[in-house]
Amino acid sequence: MTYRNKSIVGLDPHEMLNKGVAYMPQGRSVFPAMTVKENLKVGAYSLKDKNKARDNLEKVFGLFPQLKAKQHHRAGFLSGGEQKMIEFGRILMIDPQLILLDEPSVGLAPVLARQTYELVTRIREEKKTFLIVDQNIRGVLEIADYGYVISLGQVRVEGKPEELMEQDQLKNIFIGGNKP
Amino acid sequence: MAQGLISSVFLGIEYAMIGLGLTLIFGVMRVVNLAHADFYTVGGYLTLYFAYFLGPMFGLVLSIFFAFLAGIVIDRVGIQALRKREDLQTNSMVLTLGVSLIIAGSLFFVFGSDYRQVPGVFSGTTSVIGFTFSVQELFALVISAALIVGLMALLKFTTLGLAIRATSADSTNARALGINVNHVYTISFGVGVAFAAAAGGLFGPILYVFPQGGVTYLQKAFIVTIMGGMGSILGALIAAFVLAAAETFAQLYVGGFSYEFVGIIAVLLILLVRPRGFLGEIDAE
Repeated sequence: MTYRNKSIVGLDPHEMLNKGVAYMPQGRSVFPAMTVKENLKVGAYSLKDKNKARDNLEKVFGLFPQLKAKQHHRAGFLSGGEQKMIEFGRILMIDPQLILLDEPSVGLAPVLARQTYELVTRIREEKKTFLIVDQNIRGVLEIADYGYVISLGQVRVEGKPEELMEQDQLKNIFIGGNKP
Repeated sequence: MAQGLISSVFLGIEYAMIGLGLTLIFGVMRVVNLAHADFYTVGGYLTLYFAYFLGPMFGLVLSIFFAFLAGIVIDRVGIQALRKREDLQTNSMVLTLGVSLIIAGSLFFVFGSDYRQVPGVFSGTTSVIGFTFSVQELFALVISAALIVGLMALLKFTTLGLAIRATSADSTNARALGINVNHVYTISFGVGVAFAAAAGGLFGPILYVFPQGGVTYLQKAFIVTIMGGMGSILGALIAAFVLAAAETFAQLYVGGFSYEFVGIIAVLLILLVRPRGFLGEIDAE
């Protein structure tokens, strides 16, 4: 496995973060007992430059004014959508280039899943690249630029979302039938 | 009544010093430290030993420092290997029980089994608003309070504190955010046992130490941790004073040895009303 032509096999999370690769785990991951601001500050933990951390905090607050207004509230008391904002804001605290999302819609109510995808679209405009693994194919293809269909550990099909959605191959792979 | 309240405060701060460390270790690491109260004894004996050469004040400081170092070594040499396995809680109990036996045995070997009084930094008495206190008692109270406030400020306001709280809440997620959770665990264990040692050095001059002296305090530390909510520092602080008040007033009004079991009754009653203790997280796994 390589990132920018360098092997990233076996790197610790903080080494990945230093290379500008952030990871968001599945499910809810805010620290409920901490305030919104504290949650965001944890995101900047691996940043050595504390001025940069302060700038990034302002950027995140600029992107999510709701979080700025509630920065001293306990994160656990915020709505599901706002907690998703915290999770994304926390990742943006190190100003990463690549963001890895592990099944961002899993276990979420449909409304919240849609909000999550909207957040991804918004953050993408900040010149961030996302690599998303998701089983919600329709939802994720709506926001994606390029897709890979992986089944049993192998890439079966790849292409632009429009192509993938059209092809019968998707149906074949997921519903069964003829083997590729 | 007033006398009872004052006694509760002095006893409460001592329980807090021992209980907070155990709470920190359990809350952050999920390690049940059965050797915790032995660090109280170690703190007393080390103060006694160093005071012989350097005077009680330096003795106290050095004993806290060496307990911190011992905590770091025990974590790195022992507990760290257990973190890679399943069932850390049970394994950590076996390990720390061993540490406890080694400490008690070594102290017995070096210092003998006699009750020893740790030299206090201050001697004599003073009277405040009509009550007489030993100056060492007041010193222990003030330093303990300062250390507790210092710990809470560290957790609340510093980057290290943030990392400790994040690790305590969700270690997997903390690691994903770049926190070196292994360092956090080691520091937490060091700080936790250093607090127990500080209690030994500060209160040893008033209460004496002996090699097996930890057992009573281990029981108090557990009551404080459970009553406070298994990992809540503020909850443990409240619990320490509730336990001290329950014991003190039981002794005052019921008498005899009733204070020995009154703590157990108190913890049962409180768990009946609040099953997760004073400040236990409702959604804790």
